[in-house]
Amino acid sequence: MTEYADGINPGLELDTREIVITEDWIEKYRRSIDDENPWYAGESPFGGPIAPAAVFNYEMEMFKGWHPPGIGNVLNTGQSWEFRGPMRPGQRVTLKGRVVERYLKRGREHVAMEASAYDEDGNLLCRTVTVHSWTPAAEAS
Amino acid sequence: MTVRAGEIGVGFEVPAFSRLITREMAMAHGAPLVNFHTDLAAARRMGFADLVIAGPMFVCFFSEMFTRFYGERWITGGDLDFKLVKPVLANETITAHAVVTAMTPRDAAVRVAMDVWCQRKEDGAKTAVGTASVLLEP
Repeated sequence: MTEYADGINPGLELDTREIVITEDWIEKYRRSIDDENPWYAGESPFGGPIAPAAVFNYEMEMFKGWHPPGIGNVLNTGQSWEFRGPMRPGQRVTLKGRVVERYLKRGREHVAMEASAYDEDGNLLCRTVTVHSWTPAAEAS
Repeated sequence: MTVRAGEIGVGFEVPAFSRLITREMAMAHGAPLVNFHTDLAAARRMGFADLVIAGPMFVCFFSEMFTRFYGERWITGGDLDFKLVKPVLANETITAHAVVTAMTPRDAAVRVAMDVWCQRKEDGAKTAVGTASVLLEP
């Protein structure tokens, strides 16, 4: 298996982050997709409001250290998601990330990063794997 | 009220979720980052006619479609896997679709498998394609 000198190799653990789900997070989601699902503001089957399942859709990519420096813009080639439990306004969520794959395909570098969100008791709320790619030539620029 | 497996079957189309993605929506989604997803000048410098919609926007489209139809079953047991196959720009209308492809009994439940895609209204192109599944009561 190729070992990359920049240290971004499968198994690399990224910084753990804690986020409290504020109304701002839910409002950002609402404004992003012009949506007014009543579960996010009032009653839901879970008893009271919940956050959208994909409330951290972008934040789950925001770990530092899974892109080599100086590569410029990357392409997001795809994502997988598992949703396992409701998130609620005011809840403290722990986000953990790690590099799970790195490979060259059709002349482009690819890195797959897994990000998971857990509740205060360590229960999985959701998990995603995101794949970003870039041209190796751009690394030198 | 959550839908049950007996209410749907192979070939069933989940009610679609569609939005005209405005610049304001793109900027709300990408903030506070300033890049070709949120800054028109940056997008044009890269040769795009408008803001490029960031990929994570489309998990919102799929997840919102499924939350509305499958309710708590999606939130506690939904799986989604998709590839982004064409760029989407601001001021394009995107519709998320899903069609049931298989229904497989699992313990006391039924795993519903679907093909999913996002389609652009303006030219009919598929911009994201993949699969999803959810576990329903029989």
